[in-house]
Amino acid sequence: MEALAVAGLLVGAGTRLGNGCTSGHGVCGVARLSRRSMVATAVFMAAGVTVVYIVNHVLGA
Amino acid sequence: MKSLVSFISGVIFALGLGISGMTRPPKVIAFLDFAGNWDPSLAFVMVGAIAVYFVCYRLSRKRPTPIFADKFSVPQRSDIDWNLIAGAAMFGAGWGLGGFCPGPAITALASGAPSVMIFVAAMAAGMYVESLPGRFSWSRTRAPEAAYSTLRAVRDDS
Repeated sequence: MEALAVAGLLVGAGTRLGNGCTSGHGVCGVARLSRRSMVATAVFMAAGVTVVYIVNHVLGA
Repeated sequence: MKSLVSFISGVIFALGLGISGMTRPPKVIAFLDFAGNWDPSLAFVMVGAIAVYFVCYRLSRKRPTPIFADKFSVPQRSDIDWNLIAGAAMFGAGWGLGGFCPGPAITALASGAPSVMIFVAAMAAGMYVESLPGRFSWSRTRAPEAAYSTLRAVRDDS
């Protein structure tokens, strides 16, 4: 539950600061070939993969 | 008519997210778990959605104006700034931690699950905090616009 609250805060603040999410940058922006959206999508995918790696394979067993 | 089209669009979007599994955090986390039991199926959802919008966007731009608005509002920026990088990194970290991104989280509210309500409440709080003047921002000044931040973040202004 605490993790979900932290996740929600990060998603809320991050999508505002970065001006988009999986729909806005990942689908709409990439499909328009927007440079900003392609960079944002690469960054959020990499961050997501990194966090899941840490949670599942470093902290958890 | 405009409201009806908006409503139908929302229903289609929600159905797509629900059927594909984007509204189920364990599936999203499995999609991001390259080193574990990787489930690549959500990649097809993203690629499929991009393919549809790639064609539809180009078709729609052949019209002088949209059917239900006075003009197209398409993001024009192409600069890569620290807000974009840091925001995307924060969002990605939250996405990996919780398994929800904004659209599917709002869609999943329909389930009534307390975990979804906690996530969405925290997400709204995060949007509000980020919209306060002088918080987090490296390079941009912004107008007070917290009131419609929820709507804006689901779109994109890249």
